[in-house]
Formats: sequence, C-alpha cells, structure tokens
Amino acid sequence: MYWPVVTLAVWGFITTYLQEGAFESQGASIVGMFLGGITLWMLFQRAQQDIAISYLQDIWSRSIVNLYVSPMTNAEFIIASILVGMIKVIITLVVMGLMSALLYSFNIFTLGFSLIPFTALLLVFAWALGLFITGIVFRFGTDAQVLAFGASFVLQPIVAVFYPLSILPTWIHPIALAFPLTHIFEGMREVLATGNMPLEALWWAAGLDAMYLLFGAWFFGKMFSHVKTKGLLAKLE
Amino acid sequence: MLFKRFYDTILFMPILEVNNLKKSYDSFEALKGISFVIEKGEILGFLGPNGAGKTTTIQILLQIITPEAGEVKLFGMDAFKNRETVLQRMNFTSAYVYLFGSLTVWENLKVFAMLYGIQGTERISKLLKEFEAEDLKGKKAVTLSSGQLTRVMVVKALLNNPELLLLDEPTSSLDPDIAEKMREILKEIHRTRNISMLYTSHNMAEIEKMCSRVIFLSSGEIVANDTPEKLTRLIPNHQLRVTFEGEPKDAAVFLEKHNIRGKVSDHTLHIIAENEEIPAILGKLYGAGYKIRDIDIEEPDLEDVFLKIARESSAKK
Repeated sequence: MYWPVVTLAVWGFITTYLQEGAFESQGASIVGMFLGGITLWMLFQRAQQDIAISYLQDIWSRSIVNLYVSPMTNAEFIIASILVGMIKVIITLVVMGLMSALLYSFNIFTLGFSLIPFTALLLVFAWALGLFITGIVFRFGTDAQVLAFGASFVLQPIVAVFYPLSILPTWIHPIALAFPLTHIFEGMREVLATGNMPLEALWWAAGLDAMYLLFGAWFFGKMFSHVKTKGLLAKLE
Repeated sequence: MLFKRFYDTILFMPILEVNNLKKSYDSFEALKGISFVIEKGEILGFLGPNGAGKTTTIQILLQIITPEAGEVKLFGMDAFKNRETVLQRMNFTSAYVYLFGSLTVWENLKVFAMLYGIQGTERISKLLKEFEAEDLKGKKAVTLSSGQLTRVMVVKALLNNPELLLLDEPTSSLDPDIAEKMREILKEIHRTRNISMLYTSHNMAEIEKMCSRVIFLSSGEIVANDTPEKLTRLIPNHQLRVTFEGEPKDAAVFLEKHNIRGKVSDHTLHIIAENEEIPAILGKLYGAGYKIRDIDIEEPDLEDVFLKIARESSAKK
C-alpha cells in the first residue's frame, strides 16, 4: 500500500497545482519548477541513501564486524560515507544539470549563488535522516533495509517538492513546515520566480537542519550503544 | 631496582588480563564474572559448548559487545578507555566473518590496511606472497572458495602485525583438509612471529593440538584452566581394548576374579583402567593363557575431561 499511496498523493497534488495554474501567476516557468524540484530532490535522496547503504553493504557482505574490530571509529565511517556521498551528489548534479540544459533548455545554475546554500541545507537534512535510518537498520537489521531506499518518499508529497505549500491542505502545513525540505523547495521556487534569495526560508531550514542533525546523531549513537549492549553487531544480517 | 620494575612490568606483563567479566542478555547470564590472562606468545584455547560464553568473551575483547561489569587490560592498558590504541595492536579472524564481496581481494586488503593506518602496499604484497595468495588478488572476494577466503582472512588479520590474534572458531565450516591447512598456517604464524592467540573452538582435538593452555567454559563460568596435558590427567582411566584369537573362554569370570571393570563382545575385551594398571592386566591375561591378537589403548582426551567437568558442574547445581 505504501508506494500506491505515496504516488497517488504526489500526483494528486501535482494535478491540483497544474489545474489551478498557480505557477503562471508566479512568473516562473513550469519546466524550471519541476526540473529544479526533481534535481534537488535527487541530490537529497542520493545523499540520504548513501549513509544507510554504506552500512547495509557491509551487513549484506557480512563484513561489518571486520570494520568494527579495527581502530576505525563511527565518526570516521560516517564522514567517509558523507565524502563519498558528496562525490556522487556532484556527479548527479552535473549529469542532471547537463540533461536538463540539453533536453529541456533549463539551466539549474539559474538558481545562481542560492544553489549552494540550498544544496548544503538539503544535504545536512539528508545526512540527519541517513543517520536516523542507519540507527534503525542497526537495531532491526536488514528487516528495516527498505527504509534506506523508501523512507524519503514518505516525505515527498508533504515537503512541497513539485508544488507550493499552498496546494497542500492547511492541516498538513504545520507538518510540512516542520521539515527543512519544505523551506528549501519553497525558497527554490521563490528564487526561480523573483530572482531574490529568501533569507527567512534559509534560516528556517538551517535551524531545523541543526535540530534534526543533532537528533539523528543522538539516535544513531543510542542505537549503536543498544546494539553493543545486546551483542547484535555480529548478528546483523 | 628501576630496571627490575621495567623488566617485570614490560617483559612479564600479560598481553591480556581479564578480571571479573560479566555479561547478561536479559535474564540469561552469558558470563558470570570470568577472570584470566594471556601471556606473551601463549596460545590460549577457549573450549565450551554453545552458549558457554566463548564468542561473547571474544566480542567483548573486540569491543563490539559492552560488558556489564569487569575489567579488560590489553597490553597493560584499560581496553575500554583506549579502544583505538589497543585495536591497532590486535586483530581477529573467524569462519563467520567475510570480506566485502564486491571488491577484489587486493581492494579489500587495501581498505583494511588503510583502516590500520598502514602506508603503501608492500606489506600486503609480502603477506600475499607468504601465504601463497598472490594469484587471488584480482579475484572478487565473493568468488573465493572457503579455503581461499581463509587464507586471505589470515593475511587481513596479519596486516597490522598484531601482538594478539583472536580466532573465533577459525576452522568451523571448513573442509577437513582446509581446516588442517589453516591450523598449519596458524602454527607457523605463532612459531615465526610469537603472536599471542586466543582460540575458540568446539573441536577438542584441535584445541589440544594448537593450544599451550586451555580454559573450559561452561554456562558462563571458567570450570578449568590448565595445560592440555594436566587437564587430561584429571581423567585417570584409559580404555584398553584387547582382541583375542577366537572367543575368549570365561573372560567374564576372569574380569570378576581380578576385579577389573570391563565387558566382552565380539572376541574383544573392553576394559577401563588407570594407566599404571594396564601392564599388570595384560600380564594376567597372558598368564591365563589368552591368545591376544591386538591391543589398543585409548588415552583420555580433552573431550573426556570436558564431559567430566560438565557433569561435575551440573551435579553441583
């Protein structure tokens, strides 16, 4: 039921957005809105998956014990995963940027300087979510691996990736605004429509990012400690 | 005086010192306060049935399990306060741990070398050559046979030139010939490098062959701790099998008359006796005119000792 519900929600809100023609009044191209949205979304998803999948790959190959009996620390592993993830993010950005430019004449770099803080804030939330999901994978093993691939999609309908927040029912707004992604995608649309950097959206996203990152790191630490207490690390599979 | 202290503390300091180590999983007490040491160059065997606490102990030493109580000193340091320092000086291998399947042997070893801060690739090349695994370096780890994987895992375990090697059932799941090869490799490593080892196994014969000292664990407690020779002396009885030419007449009467514990079946006399009694028993058999075709004396081994200890410890409970 998960995928049909998520897909229907995203397409339902997209359809509403198109039907209302709200994008025309904002002075931005619909192509830019969608391609900008999907490009940033892919960067987020890539970065989020990389941390959890780094651990999953070691669990799948039953080599995670070899890592943790070495002097390597958790911080080193996470930083290494983030660095590798950033290389993948840059490659993804370049490929998607080139494809958008060649096929649809949309230049993601029209976001200009604001692309840097938006992308950075997007990545920080991705790492926070990655840490949280890795904590769950540590606790429940590969039974929870679907979260590494699918958890981000549960956010997709509510964080205004392809349509503005105003399209969503008002009762969802407080939930949507509790995620930095909503502020980032709303900000991106404002840049595309007006060319102005929405500082308030950036500050909101930064504040929420800091909160989620702290929570993600705390949760990961708590789960890792639980796994060591219960002796589950060698049994992860 | 200063020299003596240095001599005592550095040269005679145990590689590993475990004091009152305790671990429970909910209501199950996996370790009930065990204490032991491993001296430099010693191979200590950990024997015990499933659930005895062998793997839990090893995993606590490797710091992938947190104990409830107790002290672990590695190389004279508090292991838990100096995690990175002590793990840098030890290594581990097990039949149940694998390499990164999608990487080649060479890439795997490069990753582990980096984790231990080893610069360059000379050490990897040297070890691969030493363990005749050079031809495997381009192979994906997932394609290795169990024998090949075992060799590569040993190379991995020696990358950081460890002073202590923890081996958790290193030969289980291996074919007998590969298991034998593994034992030979480990003996060679011990002979040439004087590495201290902690060796766990279900296989009593293997422990007897490999270890200079053995600890028996039963239900999370150390029930014996001694050399294999001294432990087998705990079982005075040997099994003596005497096979006769034809049916031995009145053998049962003979046993009863001389107060010997045994029974007769298929031309064979099965006798349980202490080592010192055996010559006298054989003399009496010859004296009684029995024509003996074959004599077989089975000495007690660690398995007998383990069974005896396990029986005694369960009787105490």
